[in-house]
Amino acid sequence: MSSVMREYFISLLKSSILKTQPKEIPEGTNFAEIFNCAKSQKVAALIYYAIDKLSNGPDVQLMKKWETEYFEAIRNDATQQYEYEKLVKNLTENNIKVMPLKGCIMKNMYPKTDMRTMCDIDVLYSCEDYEQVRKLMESNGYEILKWNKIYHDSFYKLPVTNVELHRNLVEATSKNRRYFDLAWERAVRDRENPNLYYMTDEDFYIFMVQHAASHFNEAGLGIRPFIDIFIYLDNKKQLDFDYIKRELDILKLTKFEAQIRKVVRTWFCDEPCDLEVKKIEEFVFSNGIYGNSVSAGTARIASVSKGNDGLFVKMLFVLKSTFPGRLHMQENFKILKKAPVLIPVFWIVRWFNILFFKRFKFNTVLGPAMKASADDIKRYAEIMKIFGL
Amino acid sequence: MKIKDGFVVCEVSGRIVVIATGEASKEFNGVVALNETGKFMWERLQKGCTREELVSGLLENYEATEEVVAKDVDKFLKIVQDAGFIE
Repeated sequence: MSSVMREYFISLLKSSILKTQPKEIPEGTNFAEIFNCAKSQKVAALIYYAIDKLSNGPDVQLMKKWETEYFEAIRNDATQQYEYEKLVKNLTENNIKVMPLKGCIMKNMYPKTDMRTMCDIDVLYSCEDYEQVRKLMESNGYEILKWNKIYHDSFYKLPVTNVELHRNLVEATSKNRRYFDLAWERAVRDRENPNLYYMTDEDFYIFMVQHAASHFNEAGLGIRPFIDIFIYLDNKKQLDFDYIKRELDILKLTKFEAQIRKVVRTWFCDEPCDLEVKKIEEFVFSNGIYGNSVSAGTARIASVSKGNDGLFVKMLFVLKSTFPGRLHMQENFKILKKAPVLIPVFWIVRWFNILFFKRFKFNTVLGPAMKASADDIKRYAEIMKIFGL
Repeated sequence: MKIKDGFVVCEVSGRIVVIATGEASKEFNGVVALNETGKFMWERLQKGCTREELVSGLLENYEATEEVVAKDVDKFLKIVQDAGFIE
């Protein structure tokens, strides 16, 4: 996407969020490309609010597609909010501790809740008897997609409700796992519902930053985390940044957060754009909302290679993928928590599963990683350096 | 007359909308926007009522002539019937 197009795209986002009159489309830009980018970044419904105010908007056919995105967002938003309230009520009435995460909280800070789409309803939960939760979810019409995982359990209900019940805030392999294991100790209890907890405003912000960093490390970073951070900071003007900075230092995310905020100030607060912001912007616009398979492969290679390319680096990546470490294995095979000596056996089990039941893993990670070009790896490593990761 | 099971009225971001949940969503995957009067009628229909009960209910709660109310009720009923929301 050209820089003129990106600039116009950001101005439309800004107009939607700040409810201002958008600029008309400049020369050298086209709505089709803006629409496609908005769709891949999951902000099409958000940008619709600006598009709808234009005098010279998209043609009728494209406008119809955009309206469809807008109405789907309204439908999904209403459905998810309805199911979320039922879910929290159900779980907490059965003495299951619950802490809403990410979009469940962020939605309510946007000018309209449907502007902030959610792929999943994310909730951290804790209880004595996990089987009770499984039965509760099934009795409430949910289909189980993933169960008994260390990180999160996944469920689905018609028509559009995906729920991720997190047992932990970050994956077992995360360097910051121990820090986020204390989430319940740091949380604040709801005044009316003794089983409902919320992160403090500062901790929610810290977790948003951690989550953005996790996405970047796995597959890339889209536009939405930047919008979330802008909206969050705009809503929460009294944050204790001394505390935030201290905690980000512990998590080694200080530079990452500072760079995110710099981009946010450039995009939404008219601060001048420097070279680092320009590079981050180019990178972010080339990913989808969570990155894509190409960036996922490149991210994995870049994190192993630190920017170097070559057969040796790729072989090292293959070796790490073929024989993942203890934490990754225990995340996927719970028996290994009690019997880590069986890890070599489960390496073979894992590869059997991938070869016969999860071939998509070749296409989504391994394949792209092996095809990642020297330029892609170098570019990713450069962004990692800018972010301090 | 009664609205089929599985349709829910929600208020989100200042909008009153109807969504289909569970099995109902297999037949209807859109969203219905209602105004206050529409919400009033929908909620009555969810419990089950006749056309005349809708008309008298609206006359009790809104200032309008019977002729106008009856016309609006008929228009609303035609829409919900044509869309397949009624049992």
